[in-house]
Parts: sequence; C-alpha cells; structure tokens
Amino acid sequence: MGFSFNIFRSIGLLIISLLLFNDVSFSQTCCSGGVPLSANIGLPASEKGAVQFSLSYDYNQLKTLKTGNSDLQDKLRERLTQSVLLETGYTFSKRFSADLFLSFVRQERHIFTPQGTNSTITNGIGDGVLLIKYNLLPENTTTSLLVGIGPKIPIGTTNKTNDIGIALSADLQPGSGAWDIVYWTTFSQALGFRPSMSFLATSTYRATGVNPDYLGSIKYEFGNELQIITGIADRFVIGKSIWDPSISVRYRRAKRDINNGVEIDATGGEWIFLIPGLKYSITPGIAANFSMEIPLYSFVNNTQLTPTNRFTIGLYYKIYKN
Amino acid sequence: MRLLLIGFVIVLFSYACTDVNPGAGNNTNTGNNTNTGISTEWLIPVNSVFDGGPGKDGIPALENPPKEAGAAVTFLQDNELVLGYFDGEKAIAYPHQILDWHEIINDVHNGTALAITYCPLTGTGIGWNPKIKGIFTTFGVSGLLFNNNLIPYDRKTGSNWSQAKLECVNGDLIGTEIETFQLVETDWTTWKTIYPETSVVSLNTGHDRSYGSYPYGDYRTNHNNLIFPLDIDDKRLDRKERVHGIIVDGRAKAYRFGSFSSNTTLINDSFQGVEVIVVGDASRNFIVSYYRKLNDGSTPTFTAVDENNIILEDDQGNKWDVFGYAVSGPAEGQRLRRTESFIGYWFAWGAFYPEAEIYDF
Repeated sequence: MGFSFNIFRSIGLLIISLLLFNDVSFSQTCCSGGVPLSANIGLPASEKGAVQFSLSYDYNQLKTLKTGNSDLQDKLRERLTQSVLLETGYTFSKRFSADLFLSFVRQERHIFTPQGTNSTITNGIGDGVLLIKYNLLPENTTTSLLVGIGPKIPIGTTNKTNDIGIALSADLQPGSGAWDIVYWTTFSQALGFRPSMSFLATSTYRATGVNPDYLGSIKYEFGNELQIITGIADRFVIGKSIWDPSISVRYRRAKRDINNGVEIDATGGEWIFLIPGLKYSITPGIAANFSMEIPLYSFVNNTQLTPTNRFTIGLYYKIYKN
Repeated sequence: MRLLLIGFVIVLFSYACTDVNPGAGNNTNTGNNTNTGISTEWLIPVNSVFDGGPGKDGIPALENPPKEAGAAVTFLQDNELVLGYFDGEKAIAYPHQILDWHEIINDVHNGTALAITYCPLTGTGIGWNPKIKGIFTTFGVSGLLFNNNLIPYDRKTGSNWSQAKLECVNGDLIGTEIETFQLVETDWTTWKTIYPETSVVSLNTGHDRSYGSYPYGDYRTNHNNLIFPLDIDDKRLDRKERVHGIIVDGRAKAYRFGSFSSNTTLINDSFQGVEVIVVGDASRNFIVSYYRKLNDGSTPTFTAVDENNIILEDDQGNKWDVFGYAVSGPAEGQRLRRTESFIGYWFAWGAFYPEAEIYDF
C-alpha cells in the first residue's frame, strides 16, 4: 500500500512538473547536431557534503535525411557533434544540491560529392548550465523525486568562421549565444518485487532565449525543447564486480527555431530513441558508463538530417565529506 | 579492465578536444575537388558573406538531368513557375520546384551548354554561359550567400561568383563577368501554351527530394522572413514582390507586374540614356525586355499583340515572339537585342543595385 501510494504520488508530481514546464508545442536547428545538454544534466541525489563529478564523451552522428517521418535515400551530408561534458555537483543539505555543467564541443559537417569530400570543422567551449536541485523526498529510501531549475549560460563560442573568415551558421557554432532556462525533474522508484531494480523517469524542458546578435544583426532563437527519458535499471553482482544495466526510451520534442521573429520551417520535430546502457562500478565512488541511442521514430518539420548513431561513454566519481 | 576503460575514455576525449584552428573553423577538401576556398580577396564585403548551413555542394547541382516531354508532364501545377529557355528551335522548362532543391542545373540543350542558376531566397533565375575565357566549366553551389543570394562556384578554378552581380567575386577569375542566356520566367500554363513541344526537366534527378514541397515555409510570401542580413534593405516595395529588373552600366531599373494589364502590354521607356521596350502580361505572368534599337541600327515603333508566342509587331511589318525572334516579316530570323535582365524579389534588386529606379513609382 505504501509502495503504491508513494509511486502514484511521485508520478503525479512528475506529471504536474511536466505540465507546468510544457508549453504548446516544441525543436532544433536544421541539421544541428546540438550540444547534448538536456539529455545529460542532473547528477543523482546524494548525501549532504557529497561532491560528484561526471566526465563524459558524447558522439552524435546525423546522416539520415528525412521529410516528415519518411527516410530519403540520400547520403550526401553528414553532421557530427562530439562533446566532452563535465558536470560537478555538490549536495548542500538533504534537500538542496547544485550541479554545474560545462561542455567542449566539436562540430563537423561533411559533404560527400563525386569530386571529393568537403568538410567544415569547428570546436570550442560550449554553453554551460547551473542547475539548482531540490529533493522532494529526502527521507525516502526507495523513492526519489528531485526537481531543478537553472540557467543555461551562453559561455560557448558563437562567432566561429571558416578558414577565409566567413561566418558559419548557428548549428556549427559550439555555443548558442542565448540564456535559456532549464527545468528538470527526475524520479526513481525501487520496484517491490525486485529491490535492485528501479523505474526511472527524467524530464527536461529548455525554454530558450534569444541570441541578439547572430551574424551581427539577427535575433536567433533555437526552438524550445522537451525531453522525457523513462526506463528501468537493475543491478547485478558478478564476482566482485557491480554492473548496472539499463534500458530506457527518450522522447524529444522541439519547436521550430525563430529567426528575427519568423519560424524557420526546416527545424524542429519529434524523436523517440531506445537507449540501452551499462554502468560498471569500479569502486563504491567511481563508475564508468556507456549508453547508445537507437532511433525508433522521428518526425521532422520539412526536410532535415536526423540522428543516425549516438553513444555516450563516461566516468563518474563521488567524494564523501562526512 | 579498469585501465582499459579509463584509457579508452581518455583517447575519445583527446580526439574531441583536438583544436583544429583556434578562433576559426577548418575547411578541408579531399579527393579531386579543386575548390579549396583559400583565396582571401573578395569584390564584395566578406563580412556580408555567410555560410548558408548546408555547406559546399550540400545543395547538389544537377548535371544534365533527364528530360521528359512537356505534354506528358503531370507533376507541375498550372500556376507553378518555370524558367524557360528557347534557342529558336527547341524549348525547355526548368521548374522552380526542382530548382528550389538544387539551385543550379548544368545542362546541354540542343547542343548548347548552359547553366541554369536559381536562388530560392532572392527568387532570381539566370541562365549562365559556362564557357568562360574559352574553357567550359560547370557550376556548383558554394553554400555561401551574399545578401541572401546564391554564390555559385565554377568547378574549373573553384572561383566564387555572385549570381545577382553577374561576376566572379573571389578566386582566380575574380572580376570576370559572366555571359548570360535569356530565360523567361512564367507559369507552367503559359509556357506549355506558347511552347507545346517543350521538354521539361524530369523529377528523376538522381536525388531523393520532396519536390512537391517548398523547402522554406512561408518565405515566398512573408515579407518579414529574411534568413540572412542584407547590406541595404530598400523598403520602397514589399521585399518579396517579384519584379523584372534591367541592368545598364551597373545600374538597375525595376518593372512591376502591376504596371502591366491582363493583356500583353508594352512599355516604351528609356534608362541610362537608352531606349528599351518592356513587354509584360500580368495574367500570363511574364515580363521581358529588349533594346528598341535593332542590330541594323533602326528603331522601329512597336505595338503589343496577344497572339500566343507573338507579343510584338512593328511598323516595318515584323512580328516578334517572346524571346525576341522575328517570326515573320522582313526581319524574319533576326532577333531583338535583349537587355541584361531577370526577375527577382524586390529586396534583392534593392540590395544589389542601390537606388535602383522603379518604373511608374
């Protein structure tokens, strides 16, 4: 009964959070690899005084050209975004904690033609996020529900040019040039029939701001973005090793980008991915993790490149200060 | 196991963090692509040249694509725009709905090589002669834009050209002017009525694209929708109004469809000290222009006529078609001297030809 009450109360709170943060409809720029802020932020709840670090590498390849939900038989272009993501978290009290998320981004664009391959590559510091988190159920050992809010800080480079000084488009810039607000909610519930197994759900909503001087005179806004990740994770002890496999589904919905007040047609859409993952605990405070994304469904506005392959590999380190 | 994991992660991080070129991106070309884009001298302000997003050849130009008989075409709606070319013998239509996705068609029509260049963002369609300084080339889409307008590159030298300025603006051929072919932009109904034997570029282009759908949303009709900055934003007319512009000695004059009635209408005008005749038909959706003075030095008086492909007759008993060919009369076989002209959105004329005149404004 207690289990049922807790899970229903928590799911209710999660749904309320989503409704509060979700506006009418939702995007990413045409062909944008995009810095994977929303899918990666948010360290787990921890004890007061704990310091957590997460360092991960994210590889996101886009080479599937789609119109709506139909694949086009075209392998002319490839967009590749590789990111190094560093997240540091500190738990101030049993309820309050904060995460600081920094990124370094490498953007690649390749065009394959009979005459050869044209490549454009940029890299630089990406935007950062400061996330203030509040633990709604600090005393509960089987259920966790945290909410968070914070700014996405435009510290990323936005003025990258090609080798002859020509300004590159917004989706090739490591940063966005805009202050966003990030709303974050995460929920986990240990399952009664198998306490090592848990149900996980995370939602992130990014209310995007405006880059006021894109290309010198344009007000550019990436589309607002909603992501929901839900799945299950379990723990297995094999010999002296602890392994945590997981399987989850990520739903992403993005509005069209806005250029000087006008929506850009070939931006935004909806995507669903299946994410198998595996975490290996090296020591009680150190873990390595790997996950990949398998596209299940996508609907893009007009014609866009969409994700084809993606994986993330990372290291997690936690310091206790008791 | 632990060391292996940590080592693997470090290798990946190192690769992602490799700084290719601090402050600037890195462009590379592999294979036989001759356009390295390394020239830094431009005839246009380089800080007004922007990367459009898809990248060089990211919008693939077509190379001598298959054609089909116009009578068999079912994919074109009656009011869809085409760029038409007629060499005096055979006609061909290049549909906007294909050019929206490819921007350049390198073609050979009736033995003549030509490059159809079309910029969806400025609405400018111009036929280019790909024989430059005696050498044939083809053109590709550089992925760069100036005043929202297409910058083609030639595959022989890799030089970048401004479509609307009609000249090479960067590279080995900098300063070279392009020779143009006359195209007539009109709707499919008008074109197939004038040239029922026309051929049309087929949808079997070798590329999988959504040819029936326009890739830029409401761009054609939303005057506030400009994707890249303009050097000059001339607001005398709505930005997306289609006008026929004439270029003489580097200056331009624009003629609006509203200046023409729903029958073939002739405007006798002078611009930059030369007399021009501008013929248009608002209902048939075309405007063409010629110099009044013929090659033999005579200056006949013209009258508009409405006989399908024949749009003019003169006081010497000649009848002239839409491409300026004399189809009957003493001058039969001769051709009017065409102006350097094309149709485009007004904002492009305002940006490329500052203080362009507007007829009857």
